[in-house]
Amino acid sequence: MEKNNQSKIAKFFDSTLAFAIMSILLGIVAGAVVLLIAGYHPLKAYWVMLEGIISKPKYIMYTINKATPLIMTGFSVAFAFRAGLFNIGAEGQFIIGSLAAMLVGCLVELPFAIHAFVAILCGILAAGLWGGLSGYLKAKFGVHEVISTIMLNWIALYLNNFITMLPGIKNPNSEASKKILDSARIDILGTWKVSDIGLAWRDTHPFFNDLLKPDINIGILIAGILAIVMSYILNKTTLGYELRTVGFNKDAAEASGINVNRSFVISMGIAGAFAGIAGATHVLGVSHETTNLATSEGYGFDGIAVSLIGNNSSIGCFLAGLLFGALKYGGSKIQGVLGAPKEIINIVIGTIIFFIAMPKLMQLLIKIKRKRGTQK
Amino acid sequence: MIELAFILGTTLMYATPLIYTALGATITEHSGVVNIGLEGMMYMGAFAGAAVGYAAGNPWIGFIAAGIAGGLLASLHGIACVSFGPNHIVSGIAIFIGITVGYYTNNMWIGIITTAITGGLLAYLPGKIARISFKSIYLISGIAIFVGIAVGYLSQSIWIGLIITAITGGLLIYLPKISSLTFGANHIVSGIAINFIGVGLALFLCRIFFKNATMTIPLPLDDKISRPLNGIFMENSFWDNVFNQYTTVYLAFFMVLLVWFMLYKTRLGIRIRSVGEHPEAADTLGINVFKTKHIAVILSGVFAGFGGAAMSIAIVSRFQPTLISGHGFIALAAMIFGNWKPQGAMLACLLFGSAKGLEIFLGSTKGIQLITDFQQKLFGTVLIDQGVPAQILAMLPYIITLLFLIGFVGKAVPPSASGQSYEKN
Repeated sequence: MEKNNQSKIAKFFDSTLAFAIMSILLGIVAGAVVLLIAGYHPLKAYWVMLEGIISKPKYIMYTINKATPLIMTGFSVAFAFRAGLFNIGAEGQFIIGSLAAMLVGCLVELPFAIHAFVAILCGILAAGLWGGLSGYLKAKFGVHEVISTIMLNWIALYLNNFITMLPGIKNPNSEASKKILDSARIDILGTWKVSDIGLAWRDTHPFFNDLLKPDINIGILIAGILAIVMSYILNKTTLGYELRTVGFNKDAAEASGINVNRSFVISMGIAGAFAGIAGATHVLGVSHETTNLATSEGYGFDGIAVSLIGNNSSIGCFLAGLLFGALKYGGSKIQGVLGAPKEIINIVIGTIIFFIAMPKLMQLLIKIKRKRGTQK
Repeated sequence: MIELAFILGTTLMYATPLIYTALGATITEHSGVVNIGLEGMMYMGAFAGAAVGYAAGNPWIGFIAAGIAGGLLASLHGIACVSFGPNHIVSGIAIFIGITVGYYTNNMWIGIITTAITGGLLAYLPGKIARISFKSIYLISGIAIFVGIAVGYLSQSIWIGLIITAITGGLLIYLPKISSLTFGANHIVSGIAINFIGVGLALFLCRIFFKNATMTIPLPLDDKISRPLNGIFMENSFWDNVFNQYTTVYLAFFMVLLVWFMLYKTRLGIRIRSVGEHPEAADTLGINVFKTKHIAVILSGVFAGFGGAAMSIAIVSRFQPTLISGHGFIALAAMIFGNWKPQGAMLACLLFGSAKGLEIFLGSTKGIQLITDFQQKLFGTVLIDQGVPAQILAMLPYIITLLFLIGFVGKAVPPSASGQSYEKN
């Protein structure tokens, strides 16, 4: 009876969306408190951030650019979560994917579009294997995937450095590999917009001029396709059903005949593939090279945050990834304008996850609201 | 022979931070709380150690500060995974916020009022959550605020005002109803959050206090942790290479003994272990499950803080972003294939230390010489004359970790209630 008497507002607060929004708000508040303590005006800081995201079309493009790899690594982690596994290795799988794409992009010669396609495919295979390795270690030897993926992250990092610095691949002028061939690029109108014709056209169309300044690439479209793919695999295929069952209760899954070990390998493999696509599109669309990294760039770890906030669903990850892209891009502006350290964003993000980790907190708060309602 | 001494010495040096952190991991795992956030706690410890060590001019003060920093961060993990227990943390937060605000605004009143309000708020919120009646909540926070401001005004001292508010707020929060609030967080997710927060906070504070740089000012040589056996052995002899270590190294091994003793020979130890094996049974025997878990979690943070400081004030002499790079997780792995025992964790950490030692040695000129000679003897020619590439060497510790996990994990037994949140019914 109580459920029928629940008002629309109560129903909204009960939902996981509300829960995520509340956690985000609390995270922002926490960040505000830290900023305040450090002597910065939080409202000013957040306003700078907001302005830095939406006030110009090119900012929106930069935000989308920043968000794209995060969305896809979010998919990677989310997919693994749905199958009951923690894919902390999205970072390493991203690196392997980008490495593979760079190698194909630099060393192989193929016509335009096919080149990119093959590069991404290699990224998928390489990263899928990297992820599947963790799954295999768990299946065969019982190694916890959190630790094996973290180890593989570091191994991938150093492997990237090793290969990038090889004499045949290293760019003589920088701490990076050679640039990928133009035929492999996936950015939109990348070469056209800096050509003479392109520049001339841009001079007469200021709106598009601004829009084209950042390197936009079709990565966001790929992300959208991946969202559909992920949703389809999980919800409409037998494999997805098996993986989700293992995710809910692996003993029950085993009892009903599902090969749990095989699920481990496949789910980590697919998760790795998602992260690999993220890495590949990043190289093909944005950086056009791999660099000698001192530490990992964090796309994989941010993907963990994205998937947690996005409640491990494909739409959730897409939206959460956009949010993150906005936070990260806007956050970098705070340092430039106000001088406040950009790590405040890490604190905000960490706090958001912290509150998401405590589902009971929200339920308790909701129970109070409800109890007060019935006490009247 | 001298090469072996060099490798052994480097092993000891690099194993030390891992040992501290792995000890912390052991304690918390035995109590049933999984702590993935050790990495973040090491970051905080490394930063606190370097920053406070620099400011105070004394590395040991820095070391202790590192432990405190780690412990504070760990208490967040405790709040999420165990219960809303540690009220002294709440008071501490109130005091800290008040002092900082007062300091930055250079105004005693703002400082006092901030502490009072913070203390009051922190008293209010959990009261609301625990459904203590309305009147009591407002009364409690009101009392805390009023007492704080009044005492602060009367004594004309910001310090007294702050402390009184914090104590009042903290004491009033010390209600059993609130302390045992469980939030039932997933331990691994909370640990991931702690990693974000720890790393972010450490870098953030570093920028604030060190003029926007991401590394702290290096400690002058005199201010680093001392080497007690310096000068006893002949310079560069075998024994000198192995045993001329920082004090933190010796302390680490002593800590292994201490933790072993604590866990297996004291009452606290058996409480920790029982709470991790079967919390319901422990509860019926009258053991305060929440308090025990909190103690274990905070201890793990303290130890992880020590581990971070062992890196930043002993090995390197400052904090920098790439300092920790995964050592928190390696320590976790060490604990797992030390079979969740302090002695085992110590041996595992020594193993990783040796991987790092090997990495450094093989990258040095002597090491490269050795490899070239080795190839000459084996193959007749020299295939690789630059030695093993630095990046491949850097992978060694992680590859060795994986190999050992593959070989050993199947036989390791975690505590039975590991990773499960306990709830009183």
